[in-house]
Amino acid sequence: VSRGGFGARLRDAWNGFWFAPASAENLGWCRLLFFTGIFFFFGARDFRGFADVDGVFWNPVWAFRLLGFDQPSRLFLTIVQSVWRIAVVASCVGLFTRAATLLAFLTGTYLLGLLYSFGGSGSSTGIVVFVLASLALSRCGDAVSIDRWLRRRRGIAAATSASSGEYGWPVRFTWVVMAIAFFAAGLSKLRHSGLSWVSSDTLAILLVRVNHPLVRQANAPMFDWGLRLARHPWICRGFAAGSLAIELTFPLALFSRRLRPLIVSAALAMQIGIILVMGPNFGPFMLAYVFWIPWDRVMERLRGAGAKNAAAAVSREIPVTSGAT
Amino acid sequence: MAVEPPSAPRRVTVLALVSVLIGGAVVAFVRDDPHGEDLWPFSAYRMYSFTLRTWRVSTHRVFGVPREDGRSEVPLMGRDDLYPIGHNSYYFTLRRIEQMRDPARLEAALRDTLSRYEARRRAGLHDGAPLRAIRLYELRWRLDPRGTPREVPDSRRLLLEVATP
Repeated sequence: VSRGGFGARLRDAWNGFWFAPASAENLGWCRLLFFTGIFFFFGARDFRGFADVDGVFWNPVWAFRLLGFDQPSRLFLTIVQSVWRIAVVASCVGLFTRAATLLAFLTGTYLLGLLYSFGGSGSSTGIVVFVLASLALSRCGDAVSIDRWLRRRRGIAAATSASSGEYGWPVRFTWVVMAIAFFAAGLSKLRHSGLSWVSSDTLAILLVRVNHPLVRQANAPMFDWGLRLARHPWICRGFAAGSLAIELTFPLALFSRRLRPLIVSAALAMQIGIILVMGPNFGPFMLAYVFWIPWDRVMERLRGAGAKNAAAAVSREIPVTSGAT
Repeated sequence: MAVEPPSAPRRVTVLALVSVLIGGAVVAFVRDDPHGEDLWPFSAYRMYSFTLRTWRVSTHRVFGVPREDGRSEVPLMGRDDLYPIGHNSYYFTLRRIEQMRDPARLEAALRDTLSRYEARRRAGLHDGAPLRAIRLYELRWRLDPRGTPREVPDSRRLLLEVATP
């Protein structure tokens, strides 16, 4: 293969991964569901209290230090928080989507960074920043949005194609962000513990720790099943091996259509299991799973099923109606 | 499926975004701060990464001393107790302050915790007991994999006490 040939193939592979035609509807549903989740997790959260916390707790993230941000005042937080809430709602329904998603990214990054500046335990919010960035730079308001409805009313909706390379890359970007997060988590275990993370009683000890109210470092688990599991060291080692395997193989989901449903479902099940028996809040992180579902096809099926049901209902109605007349 | 050629600005945008993501992830992983402080929003994802070899555990926790009953103590672990900082973030930050080995800073942190708790209680924002002091303890446990979780540690050591003026 000549250098030019290899370069061209590499470029084609790159473009094929990021810019394969995808539907505007799929991205539109991803946007709507992602921002609905964001509103659920952060919409009611009042950030203004951080203005009253003593400066001794203030440990700004590197970007805040670089930009010279001080601990904010209550007035400033009131403004930023109000803009954030409006921007999230507007992004969700797709109203002035370009501006709304940009504002959601800027204010959201600031507020989530603020949370992190009062305690470094927010790796589950980092992914939200990247998804917000990709949506802010994309044309995610071209479908399933009020903007689209307004454009149609003005007769200019035809200018927007239903399928384009513009609509696939934010979805793929979210996939890559998730793959990096899982792979890094697996790599971190190998780096700090090696295979002893699996062969030792680490998981069993963790499961017992999280059930002690004064020992655990995260939220309380939803169930005390961890205590029962901890009595069976080999089951714990099996779960540890399984979770490590899921984390390290997650990047395969980017390239293998066949493995994708299996790996992504396994990761989702693993995180749900961790929430149930260990307690940490992966909620914001888990919003990224909506980007793995082909919503355009789901909606097509639902519409197809709806049309079938309607047709069946009509055909059931006809003999009754004709008999009555 | 034919690939639609992307516009040049779009190619640059995506390339820049992906470069930032991967570059930041690599730096975060290589750096991997021993105190667990990430280069947020990048992370080394070190949560639960370390091998635990013992069932013994030591934690630092803050307890409130009710005004009515100076002999009892209530752990400050709930959302309202430490608001607006979450439980996990609070104890993470408190550990960072302790590691600075500056008693004045640690005292300021506890005093602020007590005054915020009391201010919110007086404002009717939570219904916790009125406190006259808070205490920071080191708690030591020997966990039992077959036993019921306990509220009382095997031993505890008072590190610092801060009272209302």
